[in-house]
Amino acid sequence: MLRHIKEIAIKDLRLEFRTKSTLNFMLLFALITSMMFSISVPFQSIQGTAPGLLWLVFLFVGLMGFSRAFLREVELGTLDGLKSAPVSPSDILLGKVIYNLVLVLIMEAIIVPVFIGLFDLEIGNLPLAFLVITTGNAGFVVVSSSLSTLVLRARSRELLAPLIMFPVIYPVISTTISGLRMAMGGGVLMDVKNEFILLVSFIIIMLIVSLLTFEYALED
Amino acid sequence: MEIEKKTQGIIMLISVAGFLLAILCGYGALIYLGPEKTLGDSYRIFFFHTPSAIVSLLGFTGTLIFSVRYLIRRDVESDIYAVSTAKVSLVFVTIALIMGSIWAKFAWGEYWNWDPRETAVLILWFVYAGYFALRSAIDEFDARARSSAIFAVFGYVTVPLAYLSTRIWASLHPVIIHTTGMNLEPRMVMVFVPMIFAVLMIYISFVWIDGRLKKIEYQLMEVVE
Amino acid sequence: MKAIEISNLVKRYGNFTALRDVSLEVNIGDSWAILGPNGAGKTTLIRIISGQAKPTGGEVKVFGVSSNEFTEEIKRRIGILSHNHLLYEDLTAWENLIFYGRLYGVEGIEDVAEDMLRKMGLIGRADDPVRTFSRGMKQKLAIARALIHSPDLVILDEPTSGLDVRSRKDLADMVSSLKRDGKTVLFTTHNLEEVSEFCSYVAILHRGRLLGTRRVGGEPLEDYYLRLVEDASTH
Repeated sequence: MLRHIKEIAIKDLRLEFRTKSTLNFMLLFALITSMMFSISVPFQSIQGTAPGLLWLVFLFVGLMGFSRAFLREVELGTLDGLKSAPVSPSDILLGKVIYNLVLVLIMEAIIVPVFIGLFDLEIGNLPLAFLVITTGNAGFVVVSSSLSTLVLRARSRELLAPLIMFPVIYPVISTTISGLRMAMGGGVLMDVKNEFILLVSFIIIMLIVSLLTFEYALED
Repeated sequence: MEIEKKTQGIIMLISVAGFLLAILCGYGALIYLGPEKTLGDSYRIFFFHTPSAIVSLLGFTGTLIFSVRYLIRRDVESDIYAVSTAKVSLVFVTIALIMGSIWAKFAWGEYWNWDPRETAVLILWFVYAGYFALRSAIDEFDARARSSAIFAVFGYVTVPLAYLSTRIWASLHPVIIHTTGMNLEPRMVMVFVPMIFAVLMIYISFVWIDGRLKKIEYQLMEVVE
Repeated sequence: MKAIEISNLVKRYGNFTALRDVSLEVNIGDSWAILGPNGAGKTTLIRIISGQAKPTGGEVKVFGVSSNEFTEEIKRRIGILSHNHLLYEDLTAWENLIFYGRLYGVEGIEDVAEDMLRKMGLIGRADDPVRTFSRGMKQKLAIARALIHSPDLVILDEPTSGLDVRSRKDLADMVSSLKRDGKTVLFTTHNLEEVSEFCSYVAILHRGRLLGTRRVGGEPLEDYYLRLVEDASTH
């Protein structure tokens, strides 16, 4: 139900804005990785490598941040509260997905300008670049929100999470980079048509798989 | 028990027939067929590399089926066979990757070319390596079986992707099977197609043996309890 | 219709059997204690009754609905208070109640939450984050959370662990007021004395088996319990 999804997303956002525990860490981490990249990549080759690096920053940050949505509930023990409430598992998942999407949009609004400034980049089509990153991140959020529940009872889950998430989202990684390269080179929407078709179909397939399996993922 | 005996007989037959057929096709690939016009002798690895790749993709489909069956039925048997199919398929895909890169050295000049299919299959390899990493990190039986079954459903997305990769992106890999037929000489087809069946039969017998072993282990553990 | 009907319930975790062949019937309006040591399967039983876990075998019906087709409608009639308070520490007391109330679809949630906080004596701290609350205040808020949707079946999973005398008294008052209102109460504990304090019926759970059920009173509970456990180990 839409009402439940909204309640859960709003509750998570309220929690996050009160403590900013995830957001601050994600931001700091993004800044420090951007700085590392800025130091390690020679100035001459930056224009060519920038799309990949920018996207890597989001990958690292997302990997750390998105799984917090469920980890926090497990650490607090409140996941049992959600599970015993009259809320369907898919509502819980979608609530978390929306919460993570909002986090991503905030991160993008801060990181992208900083990144552009730090590397002195020329972006041919800035709105398109944002659109590509957002779509790519949406795919990432959908997959990582549901996969993060699989490692909840695993040992060394922080290590395991990237191990199982990166290969599954590989299509998103490669497609987003190629779309981003297009946008930075001044391409228009039609140039990245194929990338969008692939990304959107990936998101739809993964959303369906997530919704079908999530009931099992929450069980015990 | 009666049925178990019968299946055992059938599997024995399949494994022996599979090995014999593989030897026969191996003879066909290495000796019976002559050198190819452009690739010379190096093309012969095709008859080992491609069937392994095809069977591994089919094999991971088995993992998907048993994983879904586990989620519906919650039976130990489904979990055991999901693992066995994943294990044997992972071996075959590893073989395909190694053979492929050796062949690539001869045919394309480099061991690794980041060709779309190479990449997609490597990702597939990582997915199923991750599958076993996930399993090894969870101790409780139900949680392990459930988490890995769900992951197998997610990870399966990479399988059709590996198959379709040559059609989606420009690839060095040729498209061999068309809707209109096969892009191979008739003599080669006579070796290639039986070889696929031979590898498939070997896969089935390995899965069955491994699964049976795991079932016995499980029953032993239950007796100890 | 019974509040709870459990027939031949089995729950297995891999090779480990947490519950074997448990059958129990609870009438509407009765208060039951599930008594057993740690690891007897109490929490597993509670999780299945409340729809958080699924049975491996057998059947559980709550208000006539089988747990396999457990609907949101049934979950709405159950309230759970566990040793884990299920509250968000960084949200205020008010926000916690409103959040859960909305999930449960409580009508006029703002008035209900205000009433609850007043009844629990927390109205003055409504806008303070739960993190700043004392153990006893958290307990009170947890009770308010569990009862926000006025459930017909109230499940208390080891609610007394770690409570001071004062909070324990509040809990006992709450249970007796629930009983007065005709609610069904299910209470798990490993403490013999709590059984007669809170409940009128007791079920003895030992190593995943239900050894016996009876009314509270008559033969001292301690003797009854020891006799059952001894019988179970000799057979």
